[in-house]
Amino acid sequence: MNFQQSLEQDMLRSSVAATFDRDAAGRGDTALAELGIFGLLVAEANGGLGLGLAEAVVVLQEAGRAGLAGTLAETLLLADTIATAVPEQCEAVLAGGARVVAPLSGTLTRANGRLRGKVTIQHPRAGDWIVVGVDDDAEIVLLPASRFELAGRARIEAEADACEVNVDVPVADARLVRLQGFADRLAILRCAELLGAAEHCFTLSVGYMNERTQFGQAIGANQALKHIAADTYLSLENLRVAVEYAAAASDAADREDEEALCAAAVKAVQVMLAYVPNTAREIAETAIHLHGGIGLTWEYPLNVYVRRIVRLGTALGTASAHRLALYDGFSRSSKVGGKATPSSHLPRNGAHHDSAL
Amino acid sequence: MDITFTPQQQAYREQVRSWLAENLPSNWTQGGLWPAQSEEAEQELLIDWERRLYAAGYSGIAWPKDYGGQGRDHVDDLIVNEELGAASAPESINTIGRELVAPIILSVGTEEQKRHYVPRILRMDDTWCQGFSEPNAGSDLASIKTRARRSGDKWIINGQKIWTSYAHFANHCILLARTNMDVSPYRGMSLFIVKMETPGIEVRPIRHMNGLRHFNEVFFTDVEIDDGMLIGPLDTGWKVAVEVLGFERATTRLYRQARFTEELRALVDYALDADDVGDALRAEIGGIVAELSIMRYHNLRFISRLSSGARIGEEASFLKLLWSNLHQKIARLALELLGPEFDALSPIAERFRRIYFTSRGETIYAGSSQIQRNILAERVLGLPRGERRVGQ
Repeated sequence: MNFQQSLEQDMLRSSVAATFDRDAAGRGDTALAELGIFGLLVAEANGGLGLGLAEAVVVLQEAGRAGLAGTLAETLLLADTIATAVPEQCEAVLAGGARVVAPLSGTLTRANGRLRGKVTIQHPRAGDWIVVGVDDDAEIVLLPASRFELAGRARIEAEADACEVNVDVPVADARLVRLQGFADRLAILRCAELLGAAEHCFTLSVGYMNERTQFGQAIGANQALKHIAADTYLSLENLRVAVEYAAAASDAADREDEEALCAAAVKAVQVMLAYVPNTAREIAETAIHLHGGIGLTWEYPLNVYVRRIVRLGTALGTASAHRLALYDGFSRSSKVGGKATPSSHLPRNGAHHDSAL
Repeated sequence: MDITFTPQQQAYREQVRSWLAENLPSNWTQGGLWPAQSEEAEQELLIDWERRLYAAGYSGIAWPKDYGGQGRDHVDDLIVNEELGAASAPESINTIGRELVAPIILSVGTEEQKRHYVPRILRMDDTWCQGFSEPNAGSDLASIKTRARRSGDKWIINGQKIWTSYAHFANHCILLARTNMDVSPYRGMSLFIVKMETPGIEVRPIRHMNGLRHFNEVFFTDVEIDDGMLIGPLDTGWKVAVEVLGFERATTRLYRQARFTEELRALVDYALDADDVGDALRAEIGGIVAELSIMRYHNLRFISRLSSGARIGEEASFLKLLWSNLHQKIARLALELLGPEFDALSPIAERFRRIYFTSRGETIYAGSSQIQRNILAERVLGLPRGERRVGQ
């Protein structure tokens, strides 16, 4: 057990962060490709780095902090699938030239030999793939974006249009792939982006609290604001371990396909989803408040982050649904002993599920 | 990054778990003694329990063998704690000895002090109380007035302490007293070991709102102690206490997370037996489950950092905010779920009555939530000190 970032992960973080810092305007993909980032989750046999979600979380967190994630999460997750299924695309994948767009909402259903459904996605570029879950994400389907007509949606993010795609294609025509846990893995990377974005909102806030003076002192000297900052710091630390643990649990279940590890990975994602999207949004909202009027403007950088956090968060399901799922798991493990043994001082079987892992 | 435990660690966990299953006191039911007993009887039973725990090798896990500890690593310490918590085992009534005195002595005590006092704490030969707070020095501890004056090779102590938990049965006190009036208040305090049987000490009980005789006032009138009872260098008491407390915030009562989880489980079991739980409450409980999991992730993170030799600093203050708030949530949930059965003469109602009233103090003692927030804001986030506090 060593639940902390390794030296290699620290180094990965600094190189990725430096890349995003240098390039806020477009050359990012080339620089990321030079670091091998698009091959992060691609098997070494396919020319990738063969790393895990723990490393992908580092990349998405830094992308979130820089406000440059776009569709990086799904692109990293699908890279190996595309490289394997469409070998002639392998080179393009590793160069970041084969981007993937996963829906913000919606899945497809399979019936009568066709795949149908309506999904909302970030506006794809020419040559991008759309990847959509089929029948509760048991499978995913890869579709070339060029095949579809796109209908506009309200613009939440200033620099990213969203659109609606009405999918109705014959199954025989579609590239269906069984990809275990795609939805959970995508959720982990999107939460990693939320973590990075929320961190940046907080960094801006603390900076502003030190700079802005009122009544002859920095506003950060006021206890009322200090305490908000301290609570936000706690929230951020909670966010950090929730995301990193979900990634580490998922990697552990990948390495060793053991029942307890898989159950722990599923629960870790539920914990993350019950906490992270809402809390990241609250951190962004607090950041607006701490900035006062300037935080409300279109021009101040917070705007971009708040919009991104709201957009991603609303796509991750309601917190109450995730909390209910956690309750169900918890009460199931609770009642194993049944009514017959209400006052035993010993923990029931299954009561240790949490601590065994 | 690896969250799995080795087969050896898992085997150790099993070993601790089965020992606990066989050795918990037979009248220890749902996290408390049932039927309830007198405070004296409970105290005796708890002292006996801690002795047996140590005899079996399950206390002082990460303390050096030279001083009576088990000499194991921090992960094993976590494992034992998680099992103690999951079994809702009795909590120590020598927390001051275990969590404050021994770590301070191990850190700055003389070799003689280490060899004498640390094993005696583990064996429960000595139980300790903490003489820090005073009527006018709570959060603002640097305002203490209790003085220790040199007289030949002795120290003479005069003053008054308050909120002194366990002073009514502890035989030793770790005392913070002013030893130098000529420097800033923070730099003029020292730590002493005081035997409670020393003439001139008077203990007056204060009843806690949980109904128990938990804390006390302690009066010191011309109490004479030997020079060898000073802990660490003269006038550095504050510095030593703060350093040790920072580290301890991350490592003491690691069992809390598992214990709180078991409390929640007992409540859910009760609710499932008694009635249907509506969706709003289910979601609330699910939210608490998420926070309990996050609390565990923090434990794993701090233990990992300690294991690789990192220093834990003031950032650990967020743990106090997290657990005290979370425990109060669980206690309030108990009110809601027990409802009109809150006054039932049953083990579960008795357990949660005590938890509810005790938990109100958890955002106050050991540095109130507001003090923790000041620490985080100023020393971790680097926000300005602002309004001048007298004496700094």
